[in-house]
Amino acid sequence: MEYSSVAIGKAVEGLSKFPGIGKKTALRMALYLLRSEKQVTLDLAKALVSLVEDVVFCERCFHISEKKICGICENSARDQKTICVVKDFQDVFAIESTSYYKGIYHVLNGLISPLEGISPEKLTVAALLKRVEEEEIEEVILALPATMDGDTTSHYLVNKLEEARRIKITTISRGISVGGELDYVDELTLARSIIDRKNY
Amino acid sequence: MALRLENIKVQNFRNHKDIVLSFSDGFNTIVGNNGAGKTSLLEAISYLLLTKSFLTSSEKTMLNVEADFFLLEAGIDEKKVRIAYQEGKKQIFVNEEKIQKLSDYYGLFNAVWICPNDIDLIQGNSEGRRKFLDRHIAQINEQYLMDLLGYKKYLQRRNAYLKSLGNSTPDHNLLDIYDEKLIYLGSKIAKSRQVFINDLIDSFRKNYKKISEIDEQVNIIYESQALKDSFSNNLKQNRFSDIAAKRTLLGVHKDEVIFYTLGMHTKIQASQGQIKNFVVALKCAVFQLIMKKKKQMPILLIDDLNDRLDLFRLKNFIAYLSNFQDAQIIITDTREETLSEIFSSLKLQNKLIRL
Repeated sequence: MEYSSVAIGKAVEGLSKFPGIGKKTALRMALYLLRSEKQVTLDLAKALVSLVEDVVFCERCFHISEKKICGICENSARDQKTICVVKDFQDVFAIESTSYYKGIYHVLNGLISPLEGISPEKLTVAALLKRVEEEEIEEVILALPATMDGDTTSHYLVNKLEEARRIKITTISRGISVGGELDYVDELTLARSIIDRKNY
Repeated sequence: MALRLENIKVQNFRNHKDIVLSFSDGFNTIVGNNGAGKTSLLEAISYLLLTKSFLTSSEKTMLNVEADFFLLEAGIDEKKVRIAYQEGKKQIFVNEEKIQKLSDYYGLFNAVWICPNDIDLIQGNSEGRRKFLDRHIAQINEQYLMDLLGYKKYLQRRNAYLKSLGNSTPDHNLLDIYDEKLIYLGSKIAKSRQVFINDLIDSFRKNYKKISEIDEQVNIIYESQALKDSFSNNLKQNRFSDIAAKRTLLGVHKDEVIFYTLGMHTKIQASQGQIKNFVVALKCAVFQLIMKKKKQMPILLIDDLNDRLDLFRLKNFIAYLSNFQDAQIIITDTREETLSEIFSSLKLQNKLIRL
């Protein structure tokens, strides 16, 4: 399609690379930016440049950071002996928003998923094992999705961690969501909730 | 308690634009000339009961060529069932309530079909025989379907990993995990399959004797690597072959069922007549097993009865079917007069449906 402006064409091309955004929506977005106040669009452009140039990944836990070591890892008020292993950094945001977790993290950057071409060496598994060996870690909490690939990854990590050093390995509990009615819960979840029941 | 199909409404399904039929207890015979749509009606019934056709796995081919949707409705055991298919999607409603998961619908109603394609069970490849086992075991054992789906997913992942390896060193820790799952689920599946064949064999032999009217020795042998005590070791020892082949060479996805007539392979040695008798006896045995396990009499669907048996055996077969207590049996055939004569001479009620 002809946009009668090379600049718009380039913007549409760029915006349509977002997941779930097609050419039509991209054009709408480009036109919106064009019609907005100039400063709004320029601020967005600056933010995007800064995103690429200033954001790095923490060398220790692989979470998003602005320094070599992220704010969570650096914070001495947090429990440095407990690592929570998550699939990606969105999960760190999710757990942080609960404000119930005081330890540090380790971002795997995915799950073992041969169907998507992700094998263990493409994840940060080796770095996790190194941390467990070198730092004074006492507990590793596995907070991975309750899917087949999530379970496989957990299983894989447990075997590897046990090989590396004897530490406490836990996994987040799975079951009925808060405020959930029992008769709406699927059978597998309910079965698991009964198996994993705890003292009241 | 016997399952009852009370009525159906079929819209845009193959050559049926819009047709409404009602059925009675016991025997129902759909008669009509070739091309009248007898088989399509039976297919619609099968699809309503099992969401499966005995002819194809593609809904697209069931769609009337001039339509962009098909709609099936039925009264089954005082429940109102509706299945709508449009744009590659099907929606199922029971008493106007939408079914969210297909597995929730599967097993609600049971049926067994006998159709001309059944001879592929013997003459076709082993995949068809495994599908036969899977379909019917899932009808009587809910856990089986879960195990099977789990097995297939782990197998897919293991194979994808083997394929992705190229010349790189395999991660044996990961393969160990996949192996462990395949061994656990595979042995469960193999045991269920063995139990199914064991449960079937006696009534199958009795049926065969009745239907063929000869006392020929017949047998069914189930073979699975997963039944061997050494399976777990064999899978480990075979790993390097798997890596070279880039896929998993051992497991229940390679299982085989072998049929014997007079001590020889039915596939190779039996005549066409013997093969037909074999599959009819087998399907009837499945029907009897579901009846026993589910405590609900399934519906028996027989497509093209005239293809199955010659006149000489037809009367005996119908008399034999009437032993299935009060089961509902829906038959298609071209020979209206012959069948009417047989039913009246046997003093059996039969609802005749002319197309």
